[in-house]
Amino acid sequence: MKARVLVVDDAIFMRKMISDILKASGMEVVGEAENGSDAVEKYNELKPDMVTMDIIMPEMNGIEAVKKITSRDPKAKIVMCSALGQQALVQDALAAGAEDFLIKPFNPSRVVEVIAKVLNQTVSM
Amino acid sequence: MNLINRPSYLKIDALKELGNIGSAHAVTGLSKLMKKRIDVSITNVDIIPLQIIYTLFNGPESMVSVVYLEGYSENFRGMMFLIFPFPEADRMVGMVSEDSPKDVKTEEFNLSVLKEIGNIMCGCYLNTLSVFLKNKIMHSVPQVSKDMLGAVMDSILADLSVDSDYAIVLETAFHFTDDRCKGFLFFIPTSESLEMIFDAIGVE
Repeated sequence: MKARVLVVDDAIFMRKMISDILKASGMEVVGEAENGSDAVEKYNELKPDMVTMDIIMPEMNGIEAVKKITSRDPKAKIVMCSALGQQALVQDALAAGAEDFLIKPFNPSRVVEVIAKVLNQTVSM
Repeated sequence: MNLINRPSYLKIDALKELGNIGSAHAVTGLSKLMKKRIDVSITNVDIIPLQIIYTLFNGPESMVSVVYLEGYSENFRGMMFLIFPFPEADRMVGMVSEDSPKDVKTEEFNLSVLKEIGNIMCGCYLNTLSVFLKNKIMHSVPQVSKDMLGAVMDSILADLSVDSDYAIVLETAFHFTDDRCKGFLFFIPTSESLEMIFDAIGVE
């Protein structure tokens, strides 16, 4: 069964890039969100298996969104995707409940590797 | 007109090194995104009137695309601008999205490519700075403007409440090795933040 993923990023270009990588590796992108509050709403509505989450976004940032999502669903699987790969921010994201952190710009195989690891699946590209 | 004190030679030299490392990381980030080799042509640190930025682009009426954001932490603030002369910005967007079908390349999509370029370059630069400051640095959501440089800069500087007509500017010019594109990255810390930077890197 295909893993169902929610892609969260304020840049439409980045949402498309991540979605293309996920689709090429056999996953299903069930929804996209362009800010943190949209992500929380879509998570509750779509109940995806996995979320990719940007950090810097308007309205609500990604770390706040992770806290909101994991407070309702502690088993939520979320991978952060941000160019801000500072150690303290990675720690904040993990403390908020994220499972892993991808630093932009990333290569497609790294994205698939991390997501497959978090989903505990074997995925090939 | 507000003036700021000129830091010592040693401090300027330390800033220049910080700018070199930040620029190298920013350009490496862009290079990975574009899958192309990009070279840094100039890194420079100086105290300049902000309006002098116009002279790099044939005056205030030259058309540019600017991505700008504010980096911040508890006691640090600095502005970052990424400026592309007009034809270059379009060419760059074209290169990043060359594999995307025509129907997705809307104006919103093209602006989001520029926004993401700004996100990645400024994010990489600020990551480097955060290592030196031993403090995490966040940034605001990047904004993109396409207009005459004078109009864009006036609006950005008013928006960001710049407290000085002069500023310490860390400038980076970069270009693709095939010369198809060039751009400029500016980092302008506030005067209070500069002191914090000097303390953090141990330069008196």
